[in-house]
Amino acid sequence: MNQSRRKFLKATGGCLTAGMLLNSFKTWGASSALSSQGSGQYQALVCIFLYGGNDGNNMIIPYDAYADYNAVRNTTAQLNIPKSDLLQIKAASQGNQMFGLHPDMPELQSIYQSGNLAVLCNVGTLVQPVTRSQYLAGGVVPDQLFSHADQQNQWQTGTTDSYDTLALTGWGGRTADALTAAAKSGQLPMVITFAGNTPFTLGVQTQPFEPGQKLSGFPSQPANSPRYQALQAILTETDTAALVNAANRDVTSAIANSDFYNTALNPAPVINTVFPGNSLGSQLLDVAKTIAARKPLGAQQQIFFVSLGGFDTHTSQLATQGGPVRNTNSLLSQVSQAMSAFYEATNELGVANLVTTFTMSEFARTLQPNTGGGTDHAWGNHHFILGGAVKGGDFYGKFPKLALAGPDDATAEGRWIPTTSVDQYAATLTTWFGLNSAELQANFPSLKNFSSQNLGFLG
Amino acid sequence: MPNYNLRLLAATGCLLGSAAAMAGSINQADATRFLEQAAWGSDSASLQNCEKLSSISQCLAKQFNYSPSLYPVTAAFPANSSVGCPAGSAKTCFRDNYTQYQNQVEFFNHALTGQDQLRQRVAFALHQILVVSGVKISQPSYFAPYLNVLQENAFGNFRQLLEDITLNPAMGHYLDMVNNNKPSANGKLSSNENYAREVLQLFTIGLYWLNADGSQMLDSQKLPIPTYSQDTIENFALVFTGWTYADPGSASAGKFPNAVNYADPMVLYRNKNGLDQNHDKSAKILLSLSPNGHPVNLPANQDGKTDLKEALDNIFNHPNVGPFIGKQLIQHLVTSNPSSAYVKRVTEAFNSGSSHGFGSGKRGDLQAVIAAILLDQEARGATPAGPEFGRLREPVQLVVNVLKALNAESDGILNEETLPMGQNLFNSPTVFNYYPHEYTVPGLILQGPEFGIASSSQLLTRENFVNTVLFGKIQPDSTSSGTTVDFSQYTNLANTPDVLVNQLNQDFLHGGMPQLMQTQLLAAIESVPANDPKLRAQTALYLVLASGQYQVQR
Repeated sequence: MNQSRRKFLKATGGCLTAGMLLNSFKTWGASSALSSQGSGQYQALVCIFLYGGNDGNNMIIPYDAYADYNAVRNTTAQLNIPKSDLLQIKAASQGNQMFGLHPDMPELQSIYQSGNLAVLCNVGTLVQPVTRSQYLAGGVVPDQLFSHADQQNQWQTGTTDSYDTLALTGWGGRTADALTAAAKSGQLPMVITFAGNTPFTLGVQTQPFEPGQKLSGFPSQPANSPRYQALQAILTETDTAALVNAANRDVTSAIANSDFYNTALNPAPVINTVFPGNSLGSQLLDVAKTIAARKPLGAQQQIFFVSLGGFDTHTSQLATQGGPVRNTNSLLSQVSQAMSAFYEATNELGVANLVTTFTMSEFARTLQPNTGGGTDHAWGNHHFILGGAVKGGDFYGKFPKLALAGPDDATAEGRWIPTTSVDQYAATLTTWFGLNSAELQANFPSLKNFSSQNLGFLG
Repeated sequence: MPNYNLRLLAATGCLLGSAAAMAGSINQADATRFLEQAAWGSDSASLQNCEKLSSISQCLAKQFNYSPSLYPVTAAFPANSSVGCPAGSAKTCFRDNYTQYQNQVEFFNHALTGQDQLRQRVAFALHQILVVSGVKISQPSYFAPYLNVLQENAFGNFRQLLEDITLNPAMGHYLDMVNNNKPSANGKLSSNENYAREVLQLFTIGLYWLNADGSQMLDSQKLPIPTYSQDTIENFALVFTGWTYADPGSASAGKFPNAVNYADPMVLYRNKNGLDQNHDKSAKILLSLSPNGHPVNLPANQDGKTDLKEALDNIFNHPNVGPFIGKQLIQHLVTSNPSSAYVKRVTEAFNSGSSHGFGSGKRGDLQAVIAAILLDQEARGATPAGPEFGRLREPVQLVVNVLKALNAESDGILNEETLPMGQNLFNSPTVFNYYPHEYTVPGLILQGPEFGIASSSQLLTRENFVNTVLFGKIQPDSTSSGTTVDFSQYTNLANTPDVLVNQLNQDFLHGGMPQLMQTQLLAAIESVPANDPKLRAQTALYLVLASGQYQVQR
């Protein structure tokens, strides 16, 4: 059994019990923010989370070393993408070898070749560097590898220790905490989500804002409505019940933030770039509109969260994630089309160099197929970083040796032991976004265990 | 003036005698609270069903006897929707036959009018633990048998529920046990690990060893102790091999993999010689039943049915099942942060199979578990058990509670209301449910799973639902009758604002409305001219239903 490092909130087992306040109730957002006029350089980070565990093994495929891949994937399950279908890209950092993008991703091939898309290889959750022999000997690794919920949380919170207080917040939210002191997000929270209040979006002070609704049923100037006055009074009274207070606090913020957001985006910014009509496309279009409204919003820095689900391809993977025959509805097609449209929109808005978009997913999938035409939960994975500031057209990290029970496999089914940690990935992104060294160490407690704290994919 | 609390109780067949009681006299606030925990609320149309019962315990007994509201299993459509609904089909063809629409409507109609209120509440909680989602199981006829397994087993034994769910074809397809083949002879293909992992992690025992009170056991280094490893998952994956869809109406299958059939339980495929040739025959290492104990082993060459029975017994007998399932049921019915002593009492009911005179005495009896949850001292009483007591009403519950309290007439087309609140009924995004079962409320060290779907947009959708119900009408499309409410009992009180406030306090907040809130409510009511009693009632109801004091079930 592998060990993991843990600290406990309480000696009683770290269970979260009643009434312990981390911070006093306060209304986040509009009423508490300092003013900012949005002067200076704008910046945004955009996180795309691919829920379910995207199979990176069929997204980034060795071309020159295709035989390694083919030996495992080209079985009776026929889970291989034929070599002739691959969209070739060159990776100078991997000994100038050729690789292939999945055939459903021609848009990203084009952006890669223009130098604004990078691939980060074999990145995953780690406490410290670990080799196969160390892993098999019970070396220190993250809690609950291969579990969806745990690995999602670890990617999003920046800690592999479920019992650290850091696990209650995410690295997006904490980055906002650190930078909001400089009042860089205007009147809204710095974190804006189009996919719910996920761990990534939560800080100690930062509560994310999710656009989409406004309070209905009141006149346009509701302050004179006695019912509105009473509602505000009830929502801001302190109740003896903790959950009642939390609900009232969050509704109060939601009303204020949505009023402000909807005013700033009226009239709605025009984005001429055509986005795909799928869920990820519409979320990223909303991000683009929000960025377009950065001046009326008074925002100098924003962190966005969007997501796409369905990647847990235990069966019928080719039909879902994407197969040899081009399928413009496959998950990888959706990712490629939506990311490409978003990048084009940032060019349209003149902010391509100021917006960095990146993918995350809880884990990769086994290289060895199962008997159902699918793959099972694995570990280290490949990810994209997109934007004008990205030193793209190349790979970062080290591409794994695709061999079952080989030097990079934790087991015998092709679950790659990461050679780059999520902390290094996130630290590189948040360094670009303005965190200093002390803030990085606080945000990513395991970062100190790795020799490189900046992977260099951002200029 | 009718006593509204008595009407609430009557709706579930539980009119409580004023003199008799479970332990001392029954407090009306407690009785109302009980109905929020054990039912979907009330409607005054059920008044004629009044029966005199003497205690909450008797009410429970009554509820245990109601037969389940079942979901009709209609004929399956062709897998390809463009074949089932070709060009020129009715506009509703796809909606009715390839989405969960029909089951959603059925669910809301059951909740609004069915007698088996407690069974429905428990079945819905079980649905959120043993999750199948319409995101993958799209046809309503595929999904309905799964819902019926939950309805039929809600008051049964957890061991039977586990088996029926394991062999339910919707679950089989959702988590890939159906047609899961043994590993290929050349070692190039593994068996599918999906069901093996989730049945342990989510449906029964969870990741770490638990004490009976729900807290984690710790080893000598004060570290939690995992219940299984990746090797265990791979062994259970082998257990769950060789099963396929049954021939329609049959307990056998003519081939492997067989044609889809969601109406009958899955079967172990046997060839002409009776051999279960797609089942893995190797020996298997299962769970240990104590933290330092030896794992249970299945010998090689067992029949697939024997492997399955013994593996499910192994899981069911794990000491974690009681606290793991019991605590989640408490959280779904009563409170997000139960005390460890409360969880322990429910675990004991799971283990012994009896509680408060209910249950068969067999481990896993769910009537015993439910009685332990609902009759516990922490759930009962005139006032909530403490400042951390309660749970945010989940969207489906909020919608049904509000509508029942306002005597709604509804066509059941209500998923359009709950979807933007974060609960697209029967379409959970993943097997991890609509919201995480562990979610710490931001800024608090308190659990609040339902706060996982309480973003700013989702919270405003809840407020706007209240507004639509009171000031408008739920009308999903022009062809449907929609949902209308009747709150005339409050309009009738509008001339006496203090009486109106008092009645709302009793009916919706169990008499716990803070003094300041009462003052605010009075001022808002009195700001409306007395000659507009309806607007007075709307104003007052809006403020109560939109408040956190109501949105959190206490």
